[in-house]
Amino acid sequence: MTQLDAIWFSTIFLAAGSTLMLAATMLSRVLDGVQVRRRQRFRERLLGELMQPGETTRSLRRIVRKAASLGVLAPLVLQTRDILRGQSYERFIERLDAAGASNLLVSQLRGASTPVRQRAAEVLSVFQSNETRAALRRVWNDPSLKVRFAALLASMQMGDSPTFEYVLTLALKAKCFPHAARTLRLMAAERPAEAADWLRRASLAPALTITLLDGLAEAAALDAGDAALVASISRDHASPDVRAAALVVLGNHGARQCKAAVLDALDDDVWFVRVQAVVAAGRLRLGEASPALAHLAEDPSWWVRLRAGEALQRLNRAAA
Amino acid sequence: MIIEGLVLGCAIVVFLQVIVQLLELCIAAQALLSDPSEPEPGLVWRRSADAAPPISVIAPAFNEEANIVESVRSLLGLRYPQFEVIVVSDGSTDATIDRMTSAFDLRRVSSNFERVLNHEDIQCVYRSTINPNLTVIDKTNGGKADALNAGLNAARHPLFCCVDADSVLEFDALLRIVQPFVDDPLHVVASGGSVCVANGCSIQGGRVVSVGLSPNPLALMQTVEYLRAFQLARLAWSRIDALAIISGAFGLFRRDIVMSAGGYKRETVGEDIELVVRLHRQSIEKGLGHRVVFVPDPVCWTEAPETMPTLARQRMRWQRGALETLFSHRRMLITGAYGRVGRLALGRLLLVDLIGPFAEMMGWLLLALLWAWGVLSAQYFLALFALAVALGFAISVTAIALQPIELSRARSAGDVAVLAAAALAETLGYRQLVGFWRFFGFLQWLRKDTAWGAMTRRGLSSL
Repeated sequence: MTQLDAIWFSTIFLAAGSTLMLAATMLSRVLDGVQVRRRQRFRERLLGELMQPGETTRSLRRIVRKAASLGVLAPLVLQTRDILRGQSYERFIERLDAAGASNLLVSQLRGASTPVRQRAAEVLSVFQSNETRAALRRVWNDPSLKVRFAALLASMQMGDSPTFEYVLTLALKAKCFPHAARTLRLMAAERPAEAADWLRRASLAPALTITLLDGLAEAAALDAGDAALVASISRDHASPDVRAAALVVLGNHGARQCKAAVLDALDDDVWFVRVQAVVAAGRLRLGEASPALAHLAEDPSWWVRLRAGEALQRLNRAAA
Repeated sequence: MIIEGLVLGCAIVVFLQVIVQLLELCIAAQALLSDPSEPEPGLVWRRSADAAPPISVIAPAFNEEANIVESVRSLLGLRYPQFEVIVVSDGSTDATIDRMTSAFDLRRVSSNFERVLNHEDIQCVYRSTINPNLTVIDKTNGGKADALNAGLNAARHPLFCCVDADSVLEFDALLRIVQPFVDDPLHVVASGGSVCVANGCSIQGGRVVSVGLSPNPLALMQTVEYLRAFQLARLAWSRIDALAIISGAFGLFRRDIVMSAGGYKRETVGEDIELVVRLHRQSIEKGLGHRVVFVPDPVCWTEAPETMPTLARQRMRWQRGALETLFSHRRMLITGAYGRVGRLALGRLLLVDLIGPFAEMMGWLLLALLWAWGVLSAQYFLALFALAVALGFAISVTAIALQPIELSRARSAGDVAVLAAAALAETLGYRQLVGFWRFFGFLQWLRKDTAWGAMTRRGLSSL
């Protein structure tokens, strides 16, 4: 083969390869379009069948099975959870369960693909049964972090929370931290007394302490002992980030008995701690903080000045 | 002898370029297969909304009266738990501020933020009475970097997203681009999303309602170019932790890190690439282990230039920006202390973006000369030309086949065929033209030209 032949051969090879790839891409677009239409058709059919009252038929079971294999089932359940309410929603889930949807999703938890397992874990929380609880528990140790934490959250939504110890251990692994922190925040918001216990007895890393405090800030209520603990953290903790997070908790929960801690924090050396103290003073309507707030309206940090102005306005409105 | 040596040199550069591009495609393909994106927006919200940190969206605008209201509406309508929008009018001389004032009922407020980063004087700060999340800053003209610095000073949230005011973000783009910060908050300092060409798409109320292709050949060829060079290449470099650029049209950054690095450099027209390279440099020098990543699924739609003069100005500016960055951070390329970013990413910039187009142009010129002098036969000339076209076409078609974003939205085999035709046309003139403009950009850099160059826009709603 001459040099010229080699060049032409390479050119033809490249052109032929490109044309084949182009044809395959176009074909795959056509097939994708068909698949999308098919999924849409199944979705509509399944939705129609599920919304009708009546016995669970063999045909419904077949459609549910097909919908699961096409990947339509999990998104449909999630979307309906956002749209349907009350009895309509309960009936919808009952019919899905009777048609075998929960069993199919449980079997998907054992699948090879991470996205499929993750979706199944996210959806299963709608089926409140012992079998689904047990299935989700088994996935708490899934090799994929995404699946593991999806299962943990789903279990929590079913009232089957893991222990703080278990999630704190996961949080200590750097890669797990963001997912574990989200779970911890939710747990602390749901079980503030337990979270406060962990703050009391363990010397946790600042990031974990902040996470638990963030959860406490979202909790429905905080008892007096726990509020006093948070107040002492806001005063004594070495990390300014932790002190700031503790002040958010005090401000959110209207813990007036902790006002001394808030007043002390108005003099903190760190500007963002002062910001949170100012916000908390405004929320708690601490009239005695007015002189300090007026002084902070000339603070070197503009954020403190801004928040001090807002807090003073709030106090003035409360006084009026 | 000299000419032969030059031809050989050009051939080696072109060959290396092709190898780099093929490697990029292979790595991008592996990344797309191993980490498919979640197509359901509802699930993205469910997974990320709780953990998503607040974001300040900063949109610098200069004489953007055609697009500004549409763009700001799109930004305000984004689906994200907590965010603010800061539009910085950089000394606009048209009706940019007036359009926004009437559309969003802007009122003057006192500017009470700290001036940590330097920028030109602020004339006025406005807040919207309709949407409390909207702040508008009207300042003296100082360039895009200067406007971004003003926006950074005013930003209240720990992350900031820079977007061009002539662009439209998809409604869940912020939720998707923030994902790396949720997954690895200790190390990720910047993430970039896909920038797609909006020409030919139908845009209503700040939303892309249907995806199409522009009938304008220049815009069509840029669509292929964006797809190949700006999306798959960036995905590949992100995969090996050596991403040196995040598009100025759409990027998310940690505010504290950027502030500590000194914000955007005002003396360059390539402020986006310069900032990312500086963040890498700072991280490596201080051993911080920071990461810059690219995620393909958040999409920003932008208007591509449709006329030769506008496109030429844009490409010359990009070339100057790349050269300025490479020159000011040349130490990273020369010493071996900057790992993959120094040697590989900046080496790629030098090879593919700076030397490559010149080598290609010179190669064709020399081959034409050799043919004219009778040294090279017409058969050889034709065969080499066909090989170059086939190679360019093969790379572009592979990129089109791999493209995860635009095709999944376009869903038409006809669009794929049109893009492939554009890819072929791109290798038969467009590439050479871009190389020519880059050469002029090089000359401008030598002359220390700092002008941004006027960009004529049709407006997103008329695309």
